[in-house]
Parts: sequence; C-alpha cells; structure tokens
Amino acid sequence: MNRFYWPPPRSGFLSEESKPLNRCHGLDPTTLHPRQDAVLGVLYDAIPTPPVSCATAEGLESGDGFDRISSLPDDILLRVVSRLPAKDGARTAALSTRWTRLWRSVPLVVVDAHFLPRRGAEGRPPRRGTLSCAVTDAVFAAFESHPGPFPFVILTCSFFEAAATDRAVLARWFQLLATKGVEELVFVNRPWPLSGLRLPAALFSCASLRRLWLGAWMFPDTASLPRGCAFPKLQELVLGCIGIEDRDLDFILAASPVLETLTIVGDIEALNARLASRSLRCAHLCFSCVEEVAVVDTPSLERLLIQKCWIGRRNGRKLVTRVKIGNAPKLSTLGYLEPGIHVLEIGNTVIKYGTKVSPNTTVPSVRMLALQLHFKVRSEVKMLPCFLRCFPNVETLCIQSEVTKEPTGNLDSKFWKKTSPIESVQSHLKTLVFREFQGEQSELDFLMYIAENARELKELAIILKLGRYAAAEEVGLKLLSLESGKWASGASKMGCLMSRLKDGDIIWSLEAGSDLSFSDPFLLGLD
Amino acid sequence: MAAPESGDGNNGAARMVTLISSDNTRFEVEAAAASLSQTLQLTILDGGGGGGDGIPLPNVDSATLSKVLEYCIKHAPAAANGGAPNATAVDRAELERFDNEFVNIDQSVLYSLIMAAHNLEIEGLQSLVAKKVADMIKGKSPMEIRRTLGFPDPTPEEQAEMNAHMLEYGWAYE
Repeated sequence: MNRFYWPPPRSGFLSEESKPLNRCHGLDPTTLHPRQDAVLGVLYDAIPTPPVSCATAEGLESGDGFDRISSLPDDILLRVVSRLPAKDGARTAALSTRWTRLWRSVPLVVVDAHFLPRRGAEGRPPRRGTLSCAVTDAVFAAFESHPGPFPFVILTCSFFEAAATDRAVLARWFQLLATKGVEELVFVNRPWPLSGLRLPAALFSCASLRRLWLGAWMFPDTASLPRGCAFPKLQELVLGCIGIEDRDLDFILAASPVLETLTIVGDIEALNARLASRSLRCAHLCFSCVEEVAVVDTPSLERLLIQKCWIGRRNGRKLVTRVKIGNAPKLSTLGYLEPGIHVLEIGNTVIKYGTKVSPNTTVPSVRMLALQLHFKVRSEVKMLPCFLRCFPNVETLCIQSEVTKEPTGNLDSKFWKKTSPIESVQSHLKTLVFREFQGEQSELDFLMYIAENARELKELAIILKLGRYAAAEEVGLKLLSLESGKWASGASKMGCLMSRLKDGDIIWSLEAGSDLSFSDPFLLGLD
Repeated sequence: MAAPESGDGNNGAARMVTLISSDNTRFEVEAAAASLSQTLQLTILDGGGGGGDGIPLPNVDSATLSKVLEYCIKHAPAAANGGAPNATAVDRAELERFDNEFVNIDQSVLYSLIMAAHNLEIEGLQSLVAKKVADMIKGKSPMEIRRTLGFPDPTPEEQAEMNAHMLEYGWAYE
C-alpha cells in the first residue's frame, strides 16, 4: 500500500471547507437544538444540485448589429432556454413572440434559491420575513405563468406555518405541481417540522414524480387517503427530518411499485420500518430514531445501510433497535450493524451468544458487511463472532472501532483462541478495513484471529488515529507483533494508514450510501 | 514489427481519418476524436475518411473545423471511458477548465461553432455552446439581452410589448 492518509486527500469525503453557502441550512442556530442543527446540516448538505445554475458569463457583443444568435433554428435556441433559471427564462420571453413561444415550450426548472437577492449567494433566509415571503410568492407566480411540465423543482427557502393562509398556498402549489406535472421535487420546510402542519394530501396526486425529496415536514395522514393513490413512476424517495407513522411508510411503499431507493434521514418519531417492496434495491436509514428495521419481503433489495440509528435510553438503560432480515435473497451489502444496540434477527431466530448456525440463521447473499463496536465492552466483542457467522460469504468487512466511554473490561485473553472457525473468515474474506484503531489489546486479539485464519485475505488495512495514542510506542509494538504473526494467507497483508478524522467525525455520505451506482457505500476508500 | 491488430484504433497506432473543410483544407485526426460527431460516426465505422479519400464537410470552414477538432481531441479520451464515471476529480476539473476557456471567444466564432456543433451533432459541444449562450443571458434585463444577442433596437411596438410582458411576469424582475 503506497498511501499514507485515510481518507485519501482529494477523495471528497471531507469537504467542509469547500461547502458552498447554498448547501448550508442558514437557519439561526440559537433557535435550534444542537441535534436539530446537526441533522439539518446533513440534510441541506445532500440537497441535489439543480440542472441549471445562476452562473453568468460575459459575452462579447456582436457589434455588427446583426441578430445572429436569434436567427438560429428553434432546436438550438430550445437548448439555450432550457439551461436558464426560471427568472432568466421568463425574461427571454419578453424579447419577441417567438421567444415567448420557445420559453413556454421548454420544461421549466424552478429553484427557489434563485429568487433570493444576488441569486442566493448570501444563503437562505434565517427566519420567516419579507424576504422568505417574497420568494414564496415568486415561486407561486412562476408555477402559475408557465404551462409545465416542471422536470425539476427545488423549494428550500420558505417558512410555512400552521396557519390557514399557508395551508391554502401549500394546497394550491401541489395542485399546480400535480396538474402541470413535476418529475423531481425537493421540498424542505423551515425551520423544523411543525406538529400542527402536515404536507397536503394532494402530494399523492403528483403521479409524474420520479424523485421525491422531502425535508422537515409532517407526512400526510395516509389513513384518510382514498385507495388507489399511487406514485406509479417514483424511483427515489428521501425523507429527511420527517414525522412519519409506521402505517404511512407502509402505505407509500405499497403505493410506489417501481421505487428503488428509500432514504430516511433524521426521522423524528420512533419508527418501525417494515420494508415490503418488490422493487426496492436500496434502503438507507441514518441519524434516525428507529425501534425496528425489518426487511420483511424485498426480493430486489441489494443494500441495507443503517447509520447512527438509535432509540435512546429509558430509565438509564440503553434501548435496543431490532434489525430483522426476512426475505431478501439479493441482499449483498449490509451495515453498520452494532452489537451494542442492535438485536439481530434472521428469519424467526434472534441471534444470541451461542445461537447454533443453520441455514435459517444465515444470509448467504451478503458480500460486504460493516460493523461498529466498542472493543472495551465485553458483551459487544462477544457478539462479534456470532454476527460474523450469520454472513458466511462476506468478502469485504469493515470494522469501525468506537471510543469506549463506559468500559466493562476485556474478555478472557483466550476468547478468540477458543472461537471455533467462522466460515466467512476461513474461506471468503479478502479485504478487512479496520477503522479508528484505538490501540486496545482486544482489538489486536481480533486482528490476530483474522491474520491466523483468513486464508484468502488480500488486504488488511488498519486506520490509525494519528498522534492520538496515549502510549504510541506500545501501540507500535503491538502492530509489529501482528505483522510478524502467523498469517493463514501466507504472508502479512497488513497496511497502516493515518486517519485524517478527528474524534467524533463520522465517515458517511448520504449520496454515496443511496446511490447504487457508487460501489463504495461505506467509503472504504480502497482501490 | 507490424502489429497484426492495427487498424481498429484500439491497439498499436491509432487509426487516422481525414476531414476536408469547405475551403478545402485537410485535417488529419484520430478516428476516435472525429467519432464524437454523430454525423461522422457511421461513415468512419464503415471505413470512410481513411487513405487519401477524406470526408468533405461543405458547411464548416477551416477556422471553425480546427476549433471543433480541438474540442474533440480533448474530449475523446473521456468519451472513450463511457462518459468517464471513474475519471478522477482532477481529470474532470481539467476538462471543465478547458471547456470554460474554450468558449471564451468572439461572438461570431461562437455563432459558427454553434452551427458546426449542430450540423456535426457533437452532443457535448452542443451542450457547451448552449450553456455559454445561456450564461451570457443570465442576470440581464430584456434590453440587455437584446444587446448581448445582437438584436436591432426595438420598435415602439416591440417596446410596448416588452413593457406589458414585464408587468405580466413581475416575478421575474424582482
């Protein structure tokens, strides 16, 4: 391995410095709880980039007074007009009746941030006021004056309140979006979901939607919807900071026959996500309050990602999240499982310490697995081999070692020696990425077990915390003893990289996790 | 030394084709670059443009063709990777820098380039020049757009229509 830092520089994983203003939420942080601030940060950061931008360019004037550009054929000018933000497009409609016709015949992209002063260069408005209301009005007028369709609409600047006038505007917006046709819709309310204000049920009349990205809303109550409401074309659904009931999630899955990607980020109610869908290929839950993630019946599911989902504590005791895997014959990527807070259930069997391996307790399709655990918590380490046994064909394993705040002491030093063979480790494991090595003996015992048993291992990457070990020399010696151990694969496959993360940083990307064409959802950053 | 596979452009020396501009200038380029043109792609696949023949392009003058080929040569490697999903950020940034520089040109050259991209059906170049014209229009008032695009001064009737439009589409002018 000829690299030194991880993630590799310029990989784009850590891009805080280069974040453009319009990707920040821009709300007044004093009005937000720190957790709200963090989750909204994640949400706004991932808002899709619109296909048109406000970037301008100076053109040299033609000088000969001859209307050359305007004399170009229609299909060329249509390409030009389709690249204009709504406001600029509407202005070309003032040039002549021909340009009016052109503008009206090109689908309209509406990005409300383009209506802000200086085209949003100063960020979104921090609170409701003249500015946010002017933007809301302008968006309304744009929807009214263009015949549609609207292939791409991003609305992230308005503050809708639980008032009759705001409800009327919302209802009218969705009526226009539904009748004129919207294909991709991003709609984020500000600042935070209001319990008295739900999205209008007319959302379900937008049958042309292919991609729906909702943020900071209470989801419509689907119990009152007529049967037969459906999103026949919806492929991608993102629910960010949405208050949604279990039955509403069931409803939307059932109503979306071609849905491939479901992302739930920062859910605000304790959710039981029971996934049943013929078409779903990727389910991604992060920073959410989740009691249960149950893959009930998903014949197409390839990827199940769970990141930092927890249910909290009751009476000082950590509550657990159930992760159930039912019918998912194509599930190949799974993680992060956390032995500390996840109770894993396969088929109808709860995986406990000592559960016997049988075809009913394994998921043979999984090739890439990620786990997160505290190596100084005995009960978590004890569950590690049990979890690994459930996935006998894993080739790529990511172990994220967490800083332990409440250590319970190490396991018996012979624990791994006494652990019977694990099929994936013995026969399939090719790559292990061990992230945030804390320098603990119990981590080293596990790594030694891998070294001594993984016959097919090609690479063992250990990500070290640069300059953060209390006893750096001791850690160095431990790693040397690992490197000179008896490797089942013939020779040491170990390489060490220096982490560029700070304590508390999370390596995760909403886009990478939810984009099936991206083959590195856990951002392992290997070649 | 003759490589037996030569000729298909994948091995050994890349296959070259000759393009002839309206003013009879001959340009020899790699087939892969010229094939960015949808119009030329099939002719080249059929073996056209090789040897001493050359493909005549009666609608494109030599100044414009040389500019078009500069674009094609730069973009051919990325296009060969199928839109380059695995291109590095650095490669993409370099192409973007090239593109920005490439359309930083006089409007009459831009006009010829638009027509050539259209006639030769070079998708990437068509998008690039359309984006350039769009970028020239953005942030301007209708009068400024007219001047930028070289419209004649408006007649009183056209001026009245523009005013009426500005009233009707007030949201676009705030």
